[in-house]
Formats: sequence, structure tokens, C-alpha cells
Amino acid sequence: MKRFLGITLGVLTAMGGFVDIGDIVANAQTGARFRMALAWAVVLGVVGICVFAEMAGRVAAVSQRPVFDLVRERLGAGVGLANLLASFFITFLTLTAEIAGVALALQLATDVHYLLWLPLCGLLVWLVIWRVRFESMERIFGLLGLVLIVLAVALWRLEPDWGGLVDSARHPAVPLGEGRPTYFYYAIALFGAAMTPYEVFFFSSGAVEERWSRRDLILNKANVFIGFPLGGMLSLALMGLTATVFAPVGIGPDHLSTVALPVSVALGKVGLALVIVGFFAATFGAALETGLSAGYTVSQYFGWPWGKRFAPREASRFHVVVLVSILVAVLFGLTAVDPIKVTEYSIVLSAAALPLTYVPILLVANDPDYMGDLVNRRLSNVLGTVYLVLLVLVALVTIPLMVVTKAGA
Amino acid sequence: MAVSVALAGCVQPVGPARTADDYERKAKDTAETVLSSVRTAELAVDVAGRDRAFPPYVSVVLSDAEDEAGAAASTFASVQPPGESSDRLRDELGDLLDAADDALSAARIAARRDDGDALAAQAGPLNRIGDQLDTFVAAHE
Repeated sequence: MKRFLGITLGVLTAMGGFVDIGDIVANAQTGARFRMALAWAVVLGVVGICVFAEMAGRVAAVSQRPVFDLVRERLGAGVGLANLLASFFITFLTLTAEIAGVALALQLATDVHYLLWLPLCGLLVWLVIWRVRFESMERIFGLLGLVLIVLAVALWRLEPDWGGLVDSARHPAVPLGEGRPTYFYYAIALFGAAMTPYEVFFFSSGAVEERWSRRDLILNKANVFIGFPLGGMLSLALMGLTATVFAPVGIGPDHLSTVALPVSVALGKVGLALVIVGFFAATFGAALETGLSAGYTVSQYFGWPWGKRFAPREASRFHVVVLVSILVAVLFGLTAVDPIKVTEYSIVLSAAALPLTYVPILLVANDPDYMGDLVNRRLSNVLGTVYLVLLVLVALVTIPLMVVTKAGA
Repeated sequence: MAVSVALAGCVQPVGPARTADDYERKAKDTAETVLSSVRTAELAVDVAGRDRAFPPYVSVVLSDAEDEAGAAASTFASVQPPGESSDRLRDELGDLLDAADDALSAARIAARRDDGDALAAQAGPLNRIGDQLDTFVAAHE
């Protein structure tokens, strides 16, 4: 049981990376529009995040230093600051969307408008970050997020045309009526969502919070190779659900409410209740992740004491950054900006900033001064280098594709 | 740069229609969006009728569908038709959009009042309008 609970950091991180508010809607939309023709982008993202999260976790376990600490040291203060500004902006947008996502999940259960829930949700997120131990936090929300396995159960209960779904995934083609740029825009959105920078900031900082050492390298691997593929599997299940229920009748799910409908069709009220709980847990977990990541990145850049392993008075600046970020995110959310759109843009924009996050990880993971005998092996380096080339290409085409396709419209 | 792109992106731009073809494409896109809302509502009414969803949830789904359709219709209404043929298209689609709006509103009102019979009664109109929108989209593909 203890070993099982040990992987909740990876599960919670993966929930934020794969089934947060933006991913839920993005996966549902791609399934409805392209069936499983973009499943490859999820698989590509899962492999990529596994490669770099394993490196980041290993570096944190061996050197006791999280990713952003290394970003500044390796890229220098100037480039590090640019990276901080870009990463913080994206993390802040995501935090806004996640807090709104929690409120939207409550709206689904109560029919009370999400804007009324928003301040309470912001307060709850802050209270959990302030009061709950890191380990308890990751276990509660990591495990609660697993309720979203109901997505896979619903797909199975619908008895879909498995052959058709697999065929659509194995022979991806741009459907009639969809443009190639739009197809690739969504591919980048899915890939960017899977490799969002805050995932490695959170994961590596979490490893330091939990005081991982060389003895925990197996735990690191278990977290990475179970947590992230699980998140990817849930993404694919959601894609399969909407491909089965929505694609044939032309429904384009633009709201969290619509995304839950196939589960209701397949499993009735019990399934619906579970999926709403799952949405709540996944978005709440992602709000904790992004709220903490906001504090982690700023504090690590400026060299302040950070994290929940210190008493708040010892890491006061870290807690102030977290508190102010949550407060401003709630105020931004209260302007009635569409949270789904905010998160869609944040994951696409994060794709443009990916190389700045992942280059330092690859460099440090190869540095024997930090890593001793635990430097990258050949396979990690080959995969890491291939992915870096891919990340640079993605970063270059993201904004032009966003403009050309009117953000996938 | 990122801020401006992100914030600009949060608002769906209403582009002008310079030609009849352009206008027709916008009409088809609007019909597709409203069709999606109508089919969503149809599905929600169906699961509610079979007692497979909670009333507050059904109410939210219908309200979101109505908002989505209303936003699409209002965006289309603000596009200037470039000529007479476009005027006819505007009238044709306008009637369908009005009918969709009425049916979606009626379904949302019934759901909010927890009136199962009135909600079930909207299944037929929603299905009919959905089929008409489907035909419209196919004709302008």
C-alpha cells in the first residue's frame, strides 16, 4: 500500500497535465472533430513528458535541486528571467482556468453559476496549499482524480466500434471539411498540453519537497512510467467517448457540461456523479499544481526559501507569491473571461516556450558534476535530443498556426 | 506579445463577408455551431427522460447549449450580407436560428422548472430543427 501511495506525486502531476480543464475540453473536441486521428499526438506527448520528467525527477533526487533552479543557473539571469516571465504567465493563465474549472464542476452539480463559486474555490485552493501537508495533498487529490477512470469504463460500456477507433488512430487522416492547418493546430494543443512546463516544475519541486534521494530513483521511475501513461490513457478514453457519441451527430463539445454527456448516456446517474467528482478533483489538483508552481518558479529564480517543507514564516515570500497569484487569478476569472478559452490558449502558448524549459534539464542530466554516475544513458539522450528538435519546430510554428486557423475555429 | 495574442484570442472575431461565397461559408459555419447545440440539447433531453442525469446538470447543459447557439446567431446577424442572394440566405438561416433558439429556450425553461413532461415535449421540435439544420449544412457544403 505504501508503495502504491508513493506514486501519487506522478498521478497528481499527470492529472494536471492530461485531464485538467483545458485538456478535458481539448480532448473531447478533437475526438468529436477528428475521431482518433490525433491519438498519436497524445502518445507523442506521453513519451516526451516521460523522458523529461524522469530526467527532472532524477536530477532533483540526486542534486536536491528542482528544474527552475537549474534553468537560471544554466541559461543565465537574463534568459532565465525571460523564461520565468513566459512560464509564470502561462502558469497564471492555467491557474485562472483551473480555479474556474473547479467552479464549473460545482456548477454542474448545483446549477449555481460558476462565477458565484469562483471566490470560494480560490479560497479553498489557497487554504489547502496553506494548511495541508504536501504528501496528504498529493495523495488526496491524486487518488480522487483516479475517479476519472469512469471515462474508460463509460467507453467500454458504450460498446463502440473498437475496430473503427483503432483504425482511425493507426491511419490518421484529416477528415473531410477540416483543414490541414487546423489538424496540426490541435495536434500541437494536445502535445503542448502533455508537455506543459509547470508539470516538470511541480514534479521536480515535489520530489525535493518529499526529500527524494538516490534511494528513491525507483520511485521516480514508477511515478513517471505509471502516472503519465495513466493520464494519457484517460485522454484517449475521453477522445474515444466523444468520437463515439458526438462525432456521428455533429456535436462539438465546447463546454465542460457537454463533455460529461457521453458518461451519462453510458452509465446513468452514478457515472455522471463520478465524472463530476473526477472533474472537480482533477481541476482542483491542477489548481494546486499551478498555484504552487507559480510560487516555486519565482522563489527558485530569486533564490528564496520555498516550499511546504518550510514553516510559512520561513518561506514567507513563496507563500505571498502563491497567495497573490490565486487572488489575481480569481479576480481575472471574475471578469467572466471564458475559462475554457483561457486554458486552450495557455496550452498552445506553452508549446511556444517548451524548449526553454527542457534544454536545461537535458544539459544538467548529462553533467557529471551534478549527477555523478547517474548521468543520462544513451537512450535518454537520443530521445531527449529528438524531442528537443521537435520542441523547437513546434515552438516555431505554434503562433503562426494559431493565427492562420483562428485558434482552431 | 503573448498577452495580446492570448487576450485577442479570447474574443472570436467577426470578419466581414466580402463575397457571396464568403457569406455562404459563414452561414454554414453558423448552422453547424447551432446544430451542435441543438443535438446536444436533444441528447440531454433524452438522458433526462430516461432518468440518467440529475436535473441541475441537465439544466446547465441546456443553458450552455442555448448560450452557444445564441452567440453564434448573434455573430452571424452582425455580418453584412454582400448582395441579394446573400439576403435570401440570411432569411433562410435566420428562420432556422430563431426556431432553434425557441426550442432551446423552451427546453431550458422546462428543465429549470423540473417539468419532465414539458422537457420531453421538446424532443420532437429539437429533432426536427436539427434535421433542418443538417439539410442546410449539407446544401451549403
